Amino acid sequence: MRILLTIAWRNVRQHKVKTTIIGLIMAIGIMVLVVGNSFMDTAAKGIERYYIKNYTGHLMITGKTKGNLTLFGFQDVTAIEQPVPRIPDYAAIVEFASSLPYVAALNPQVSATAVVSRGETTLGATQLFGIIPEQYQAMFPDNVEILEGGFWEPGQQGVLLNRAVAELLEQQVGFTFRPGDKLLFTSVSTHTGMRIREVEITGLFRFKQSNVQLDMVSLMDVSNVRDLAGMVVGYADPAELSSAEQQFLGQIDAESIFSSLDSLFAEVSVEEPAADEDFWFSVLEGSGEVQAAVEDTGAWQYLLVRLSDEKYLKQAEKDFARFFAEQGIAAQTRDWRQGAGALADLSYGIKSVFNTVVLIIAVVAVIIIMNTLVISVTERMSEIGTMRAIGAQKSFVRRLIVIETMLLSGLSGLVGVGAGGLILLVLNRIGLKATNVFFEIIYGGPELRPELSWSAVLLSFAVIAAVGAVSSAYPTAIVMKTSPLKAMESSR
Amino acid sequence: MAIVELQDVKKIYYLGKAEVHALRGVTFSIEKGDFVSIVGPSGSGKSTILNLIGCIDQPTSGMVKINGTVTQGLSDRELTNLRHKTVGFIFQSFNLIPVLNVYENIEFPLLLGKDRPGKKEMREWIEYLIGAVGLADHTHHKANELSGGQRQRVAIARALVTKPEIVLADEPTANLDSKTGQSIIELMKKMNAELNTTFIFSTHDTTIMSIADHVIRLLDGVVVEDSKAQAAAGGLV
Repeated sequence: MRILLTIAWRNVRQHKVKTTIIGLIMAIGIMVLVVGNSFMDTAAKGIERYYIKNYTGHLMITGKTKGNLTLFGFQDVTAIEQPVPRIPDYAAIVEFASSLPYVAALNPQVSATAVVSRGETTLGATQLFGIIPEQYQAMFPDNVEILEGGFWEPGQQGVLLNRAVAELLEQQVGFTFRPGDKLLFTSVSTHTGMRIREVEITGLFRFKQSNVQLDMVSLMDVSNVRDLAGMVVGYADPAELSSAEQQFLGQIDAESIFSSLDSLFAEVSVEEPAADEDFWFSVLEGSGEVQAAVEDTGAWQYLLVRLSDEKYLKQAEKDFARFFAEQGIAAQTRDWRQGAGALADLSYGIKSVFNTVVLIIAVVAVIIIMNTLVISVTERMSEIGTMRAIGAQKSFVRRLIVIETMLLSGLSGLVGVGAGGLILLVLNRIGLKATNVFFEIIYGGPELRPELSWSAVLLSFAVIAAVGAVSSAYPTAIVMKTSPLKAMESSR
Repeated sequence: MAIVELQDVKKIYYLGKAEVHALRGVTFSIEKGDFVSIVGPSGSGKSTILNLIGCIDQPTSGMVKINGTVTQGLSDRELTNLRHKTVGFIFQSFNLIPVLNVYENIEFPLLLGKDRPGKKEMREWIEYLIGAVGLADHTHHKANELSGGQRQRVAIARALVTKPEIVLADEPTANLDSKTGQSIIELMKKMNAELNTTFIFSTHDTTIMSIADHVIRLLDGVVVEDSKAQAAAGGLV
């Protein structure tokens, strides 16, 4: 082994042109890989930290459904096929979640998208999170900065308008919104028809760490958001019952039914809408009839779960899955990334694109390196033939070529990692400001301070090893076929 | 005792569709400790015979026996082992490994085998060989820092380091001036006498030829003169 290393090391030093060509390709490639992946990892970690801490928690419990369900609703064609499902057996799930020692906080939520208008003027759209302020703030204590006014009082209704949304709306209407102003929120869907709510602005806020997606989110009392999301249990029209139905219902004590139902949702604070503010409509599919519906009080679309430590994530997923299976509850957990939706996916998508580009570069590098090695090996046929003639087995010369390539690759990789680390250090010190929405999405926020990612370093060395192994495969095959006769022939 | 035996050895090379008959039924044997010169004009088959004895090529037909082992049918690994244990090579262009110094070049064949001598024994043996070939002052010089004659001396030491039964030298003086060539042949003869190693070398040089105690002359792939065989048969050498 010593002699192999000696020859390999000295060959690397002696063949300066080959070493320089391969070394530079490898070093630059690895530098790009380290910087790029560290950059992406930092952004991804930032997005993860910031979504978990401020918007999604570690886990999101929803009703069981197919499709790409996020905190912002379905983000695929499922949205056309069905509404966001309610969480079944919500109370039982909350009770179970509360019993788990690693669950730090729970936050129920409902989501809807609404067009905002004032009088006759349509101003724009906003995403609404229907929340209970106390629980939301307990779950995400650091993400909301109240700029004016405040949350609605318990038992009251209202909307805490995102400053970014307000600014967009103000451009349309020409004056500044203040707490106490009222806005019309309209939601339309194929499942629930059109729903309109007039809601008073109780305050203006901003998310301390935001991005283009979250800048569209305003916070509203859950009752109004439920209505806008079409979460109703029936219609207020008097129903005509057959005599058999009347006879059946006559045997049931209606009081006991509703009191028992209420007890199920005892721990959930639900604000009943004030009757005089209800003037919403439901345009049912094809009928065009205007009907009044009753809010499905106590129904939630999302239960966000924050864990005391991220290490419990897998265990939590298992525990919830087991609980749902045992209890026959049609619910499921989704991780923060699914909850975060398109933005997080886009960030990861960009990373995939980057890695694809790196893969293409790696293939090109392999071809260049392989050619260089083939030339180098061809030039050394006499030397290799001599080794074979004087007693070196094929395995010896194969190891020699592989070690030489690996040595060269490893050294180049170290230089690449070092250079990449240096670049990252500088970028970390100066910080990268997102100059537009695209970069804000990539950075996972308004600024990125990339840090050296050890997974990127490990990946780089895996790529080095792979490139080295693949590049040396063909030259090694040539070497393996080299007969000791070559030594004699080249000598003559 | 015959260390090398060739019986009716034929070797045909194929150049495209053309057949080149390099050896047309060669038979001879070489005794242990002989200092053998294989002579003949270009294309007579000298190199082919050295390749066959060195186990780096196989005959088309006939038998090649080296130190009691028939080479036909051996695997590449077995042939390599046989070469390593039995044969040392001296090449026309020296063929030293350029990145290794004199000591390391000589040491190299020893490191390829599994049955290595102890470190101390190995060092003493290599130093003895370096001294014997007159390169004690050049132990740490690389090949490109040596003259042609010095390089060939290194090659001789390298060929002898594994204590082989046979050393093959393919025109060892062809790339050297006559004076250096003479000194190299004298060195080979000296080592032949000291170590009782069989030396087999091909050459055009009639001066060198005269030092050999066994001359095999080839012409067009056929042995036309075998001095030992003729002597044994009572003929003229």
